[in-house]
Amino acid sequence: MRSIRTYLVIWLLGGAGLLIVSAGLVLEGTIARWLEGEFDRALESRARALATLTEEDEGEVEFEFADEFMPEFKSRTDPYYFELWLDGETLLARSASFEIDEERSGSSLLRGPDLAAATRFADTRLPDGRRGRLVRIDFVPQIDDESDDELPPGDDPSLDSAEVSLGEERHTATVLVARERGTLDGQTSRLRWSLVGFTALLLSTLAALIVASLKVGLRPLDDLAGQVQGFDAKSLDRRVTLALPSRELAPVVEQLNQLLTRLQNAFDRERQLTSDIAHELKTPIAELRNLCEVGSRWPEDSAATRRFFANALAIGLQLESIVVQLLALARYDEGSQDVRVGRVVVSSIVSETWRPLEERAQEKSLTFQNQVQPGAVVETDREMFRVVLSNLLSNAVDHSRPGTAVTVRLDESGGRSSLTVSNYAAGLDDDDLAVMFDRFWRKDSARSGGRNVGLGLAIVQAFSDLLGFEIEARLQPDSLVQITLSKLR
Amino acid sequence: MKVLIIEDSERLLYSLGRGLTKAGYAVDLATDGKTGLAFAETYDYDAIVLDLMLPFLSGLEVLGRLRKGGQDTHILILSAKSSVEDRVTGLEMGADDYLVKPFSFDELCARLQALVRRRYRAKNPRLRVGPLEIDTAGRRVCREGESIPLTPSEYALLEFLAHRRGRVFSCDQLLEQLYRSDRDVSHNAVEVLVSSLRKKIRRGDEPSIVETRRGFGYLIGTEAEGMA
Repeated sequence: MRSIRTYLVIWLLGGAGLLIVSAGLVLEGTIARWLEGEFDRALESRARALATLTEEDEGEVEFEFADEFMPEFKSRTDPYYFELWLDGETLLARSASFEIDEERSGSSLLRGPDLAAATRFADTRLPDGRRGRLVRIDFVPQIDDESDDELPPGDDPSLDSAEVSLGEERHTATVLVARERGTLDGQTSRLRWSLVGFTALLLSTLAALIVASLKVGLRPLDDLAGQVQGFDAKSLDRRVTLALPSRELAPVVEQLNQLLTRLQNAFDRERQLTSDIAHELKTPIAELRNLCEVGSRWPEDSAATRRFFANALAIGLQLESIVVQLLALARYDEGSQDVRVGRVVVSSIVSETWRPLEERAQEKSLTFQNQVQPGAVVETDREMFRVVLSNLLSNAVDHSRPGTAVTVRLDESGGRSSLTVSNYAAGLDDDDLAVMFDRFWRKDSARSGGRNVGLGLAIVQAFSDLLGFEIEARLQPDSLVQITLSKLR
Repeated sequence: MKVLIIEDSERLLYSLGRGLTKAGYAVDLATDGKTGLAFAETYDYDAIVLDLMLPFLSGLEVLGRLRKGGQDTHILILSAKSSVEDRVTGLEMGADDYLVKPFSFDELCARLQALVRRRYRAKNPRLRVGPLEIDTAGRRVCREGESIPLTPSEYALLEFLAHRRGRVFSCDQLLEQLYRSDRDVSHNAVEVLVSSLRKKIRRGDEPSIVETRRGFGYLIGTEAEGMA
């Protein structure tokens, strides 16, 4: 798995390193060229100085040079060398440094006639065998128009003098000046190593800075990862809180906390549902177990045994009812409940649904009023609609005050069809309306072991949702409860 | 022994009532808190089995009102609520025991018997009355190692008097303690029951363990040998 930290370190350090090394190379090259340029200019200035000492007078080329003014040309240590050639073939003069030993006196700076370029710099091998730098200047000696006023060369012992008479045509001269380039190479080498050292130091510092910055900068991310790793099913009540909040992670933390809240709610609902189911099953199981234990211990009590069997059957049916209702809700939760929409005649299905409840209604002297217009239809799933109606009417019968009426009415206005089931039920209040569709909710917490386990209205709500009905419960004066299902026609 | 069961599940109430009656208890039944409270305040019970989730008046409210009214009858809560908080609340409000549904009928009987023993400060489940040994846990009576077959009513009468040795009980008192409160039973039934019991536990011409005090009622005398 890729590490963000490693990725950032590699790219930041690699990128910065590349830039620094490139900058170092450019800097080193620039400075080295500048140093070499300065070195060459110094060499050239000497060559030009020597060129100015070369004059042509009446067809003769004279070179007047005094060692005292340029002692570097006669020094025994690190001497400079020069040669002055005329027309590329006649050596007019050379520096005293050539005369230090025989090996030097036998060598020359001119490696071959090349008068094409005016000024050229080149690396060369000095007469003393060291690597050197050479400048070559080809020039036409200036005319000496004051030669008569000057002393003859032999009168001034400090001046070397050379004269060559070559007729009327102008001569070309070539001056070559060379010196060792060890100083330049040393400076360049020191510069290069300084830059290498500086670059290495810079890269090390940069690496440390990058690692430290990432450590500090990614601390909220590490904090987040540490907290998230600590989550499990038992710690869903915890929330992510960063010690160092960051703008980039704020939406992640917010979404994560919202997700945790939803997850916690789902877990709580699941736990509550499991607890409710277990609780709901405890009483029928206790009934079943007890009647089996008592019935098997005193089997001779035939009257009781017969009633035990009847009770066992009723318990079985009750458990079956709970399971069927839970499965219906599970199908709704999974989204696997099939909905087959068709035209349903409301009046007929209301009467059909009421029929099995008539006996129970008569026991409480309830009257039933089906006020739905004959022939009125809704587009819905017939079986699911019947289950919804059955639960609403069954609840109405169970919870109505004796001697009151249960009414079903269908209103069609504003493009909506609204089916309302009304009954008079004592004991409900406005708070109950908000929770009466919750699973396993019952007004009276007593588990009477009968038909009602608190799932009927939950199924009404789930199926209404699937069928596209909006459901609303209202409490009117005199404890009149109205539950309305409405949808667009 | 007389017990009151307050339980809203009619099916459970019926099977419990039948079972405890067969086990020798006189059992009164109530399906809601209000009726149960009325029974508990009217009659003297050896123990009350009380559900918590009851219509009209919850089990905890019944418990609270009984204790507030000075009732010290032993109460066993029988509830589907199983959390520690529920059990602690029930016991702290004055219940003597707590049994969670589903439960074993034998365990319920054993716990009821333990509550009855606590009422009479008898830790040993075996009572010795003269030559008789009464096993209150197994609800059996033996004489010199030989089991005496008694009906539940005969056993209930013997255990009731054995727990209250030296005290005389009239026919009315015995009727109230040995039969359901709503059952219409005559004095004659008590006399027949006493006679039947005497015949089963008596040997030869020895004096009867269950004595008659003319004009007052019946008792088991304190001169009978104490508890084993």
